Amino acid sequence: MNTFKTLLLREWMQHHFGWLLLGCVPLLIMVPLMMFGHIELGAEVPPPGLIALGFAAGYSGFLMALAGLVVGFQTPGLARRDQQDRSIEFWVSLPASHVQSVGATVLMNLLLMPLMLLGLAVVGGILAGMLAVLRVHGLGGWGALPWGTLLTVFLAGVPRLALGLVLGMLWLSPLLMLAMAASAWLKRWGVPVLAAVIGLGGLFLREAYDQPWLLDGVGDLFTHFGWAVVPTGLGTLNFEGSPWPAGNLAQFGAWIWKDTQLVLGDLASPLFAVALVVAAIGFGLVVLRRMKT
Amino acid sequence: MNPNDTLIRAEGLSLRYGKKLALDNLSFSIPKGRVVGLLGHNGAGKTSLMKALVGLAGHDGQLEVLGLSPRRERVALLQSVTYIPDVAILPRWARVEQLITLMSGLHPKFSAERARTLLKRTSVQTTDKVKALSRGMVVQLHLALIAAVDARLMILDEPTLGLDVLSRKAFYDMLLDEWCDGERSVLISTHQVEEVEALLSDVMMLNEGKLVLNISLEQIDQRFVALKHSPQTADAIAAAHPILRYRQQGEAAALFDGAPPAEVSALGQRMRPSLVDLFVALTRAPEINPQRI
Repeated sequence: MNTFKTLLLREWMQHHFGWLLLGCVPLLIMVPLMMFGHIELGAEVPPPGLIALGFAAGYSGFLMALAGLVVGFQTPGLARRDQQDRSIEFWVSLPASHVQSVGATVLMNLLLMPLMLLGLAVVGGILAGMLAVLRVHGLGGWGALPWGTLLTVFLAGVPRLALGLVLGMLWLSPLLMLAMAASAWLKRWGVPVLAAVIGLGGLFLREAYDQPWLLDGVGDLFTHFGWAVVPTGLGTLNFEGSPWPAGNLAQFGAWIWKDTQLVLGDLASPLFAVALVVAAIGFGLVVLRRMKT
Repeated sequence: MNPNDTLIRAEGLSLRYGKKLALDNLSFSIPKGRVVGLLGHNGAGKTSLMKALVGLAGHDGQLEVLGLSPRRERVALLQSVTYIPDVAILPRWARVEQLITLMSGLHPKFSAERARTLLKRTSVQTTDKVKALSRGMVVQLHLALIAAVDARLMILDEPTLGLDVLSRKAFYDMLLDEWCDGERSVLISTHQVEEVEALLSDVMMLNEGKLVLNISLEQIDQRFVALKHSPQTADAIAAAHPILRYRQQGEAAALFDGAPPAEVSALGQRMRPSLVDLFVALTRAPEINPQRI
């Protein structure tokens, strides 16, 4: 276990600067913008609670979308990172198994770092919400905030977002691990080849043999990913008790609990099982490539 | 010899890369307390052998290192075997202190305190970043890190390649002073044969994947005879079939495997054969040098 923790530490040492930059630069831009920029909310000014929540969700969502882009672009390169800086010979000369080494890279870069960024996104979101209330309603706006309700939203929402991030990564794990495997084996051609196989192969299967399962399956992965990371009650915002249309934040805790049950129940599907198997195959291919270094 | 004293035992060891036979049926053993030089031209199989010894390359035949199978028990083996590969590149993003921290977590027999002590012999500071160090300093750092591991066997693949003479001397000084204690063994491959000759106890020569010589330096003096002779006796010397005819300090010389006939010996002046001459004799033309061990 000490070995694995050290391998995670190595990932942190190597990549923390970039991730912290990603988490902090938007914050440093947002604060002066919120303090000195113009905020336009239309003719009817929403109550302080909704403003706080709206800006918090907007900032957090923006940062996490940015993090998603970074993960998407960075993941294939992780498979060849140590080969490219030629340090691979050093790492494989140490008594750590290939499975542990690849596992630590995957866990840290695809899960723990995004979770850390979620923490920064939440902190920045709270700050954005408070500043927005201050700008729109003045200092009195803070006094008018429904603190109890907002605390409920925070206590229910943040664990749900963290869980959603984990589940979302699991839903996308087959694509991410295949991208890593393709990059490990085919170098710079890996991602284009993978995209061509899935895209053109899927089209060919659908058009020539009336077999749309490949394209549909990939599309479904993204759909389930979306349901996991954004609490929408599996895309059914209008189900009973939804707080969004009515602005009924007092019901948020109960609603988020229902949503959590739905996204967890969503895992009990053949697609998720197939996704995990494909991800495991991708992981195995990355390990195999490392063994052949 | 006590079987427990044997650190490496190979029987019929072969290694292929596709159709190319990199190692061809090698059989040898290396006991404890030896400093073994592994010599061979580029492509002779030195790196392949070393990779097989640390479990980074598959092989046919029997191979045991410290009583373990390198391929199946790589992680356990690398706790007692340290290895500097021929492309020894430490991660450029890391600081020296970070590498010490990582080694402490990854290597159960690593002493951070000893590493810091060894580094005091060099111009490397613990606050330095690897990418700010010269190649010589990086190699010194790498040696300090692995010499701080309480291992039984050190495998060094061209560790001083590309270093200037001062860096090479500093490297070998540290190796001898801080690591070789009569119990541990070192297997070192290099092209700088003259420089390592003084520190070797044994030498192994590879030629096109075959082990053409495996002998202690004391035995070399007994088995091989070099004769310095005048040009007038060249024909008579050549008729005795030396394995190499060459020039030494401007004078003609011949190298014999075994003592030449007394009348031939009388034609020249016996001298100690150098490892370089022996290397040239045994590896320059495989077709006229049948396998000899």
